[in-house]
Amino acid sequence: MTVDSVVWRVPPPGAVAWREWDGEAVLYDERTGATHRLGLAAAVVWRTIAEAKSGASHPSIATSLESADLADGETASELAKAIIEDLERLGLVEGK
Amino acid sequence: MIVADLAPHELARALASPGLRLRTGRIVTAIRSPIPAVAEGIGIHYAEHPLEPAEGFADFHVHVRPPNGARRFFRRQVLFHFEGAAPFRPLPFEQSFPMLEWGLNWCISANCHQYLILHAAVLERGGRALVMPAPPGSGKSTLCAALALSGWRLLSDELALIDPVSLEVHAVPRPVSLKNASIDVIRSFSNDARLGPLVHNTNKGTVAHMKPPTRSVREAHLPATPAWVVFPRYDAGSAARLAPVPKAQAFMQLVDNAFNYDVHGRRAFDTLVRVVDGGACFEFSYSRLEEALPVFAGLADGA
Repeated sequence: MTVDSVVWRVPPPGAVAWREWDGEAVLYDERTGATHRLGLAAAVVWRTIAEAKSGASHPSIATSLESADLADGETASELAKAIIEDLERLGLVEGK
Repeated sequence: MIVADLAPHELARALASPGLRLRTGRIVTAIRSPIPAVAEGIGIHYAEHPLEPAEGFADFHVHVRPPNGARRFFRRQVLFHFEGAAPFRPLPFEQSFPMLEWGLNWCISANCHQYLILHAAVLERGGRALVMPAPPGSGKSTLCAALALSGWRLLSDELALIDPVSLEVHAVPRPVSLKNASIDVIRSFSNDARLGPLVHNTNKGTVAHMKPPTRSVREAHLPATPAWVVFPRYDAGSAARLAPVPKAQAFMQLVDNAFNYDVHGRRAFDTLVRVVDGGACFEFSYSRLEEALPVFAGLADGA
């Protein structure tokens, strides 16, 4: 399985509550009781994955970062990868 | 009946037994103490607070008294008892009234989980609440005292009690705790400031309490809706400056200042989201009250 073929999903409905203001987001994880603040880029990644009904792939996430004018080309790809790793480590996304 | 209706000897007798049922907003505390400084402090700072019947319900039962043993006489100390237990180490006897105040703060923050509780000063204008969360040393109490002496209604100097359903902030008007240089700042700020005795060498330095203004006590039954979240910071020599704070940052700062966020969990998250949704969020730095107050007047007037 290549990185690009992994489909990223957010936890099941109800597990994570979130709210966005001015491009940043705050999340509450019901399973851990933890609250997180996501900066502009992380919020774009989270929203892209959360709003994709069947999950989001790395290329589509990188494209979202480009569309938001937060990064271009290879930089967007690397940024997406780093943020996904952070979100996965926090249990906020999972890939299959 | 209010505290001022009692003659000093009647107040002392009620405090000795069965306890003074003191109402502060929605909270009734049964206070017992044989210590004259506690009676004096209550007589000064709670003069206009309502009293409930001696046989009535009390949310908390507290007892401020000397410990048993030699410390009753030698290097005298005082203990705060809550429902029969002593949750804190004893303090020097001279700190009896501050210990009552600090103990009452703890009673509320550790037990009133019907509210989401923030470490914050709260004041009201036109039904709208100004919520000022801040750590100790930020100048929060100084600013709070000055605003309370300048037309804002004091809901609390220390504790924002937010109803998670209605989002209303409930008042618990109690003395404003002033420390060190703030004491003289407020004393010279207004002749209406009624300060109690100085208590030296506490963990916070020299402490004096300011009696809550009459209106804040008489209107303690009126809640307010959060409209402004302001994080104050005393910055020596600086000009007064009010600057917007990104809402996600303000949200996290509110979480950091919540006493019982973990108790409420998702409900606390939703409550603070509504607070941030409904209010404007700012950082405020200042060094002179004369510059600070017009800024808040402007907020209230929608400027």
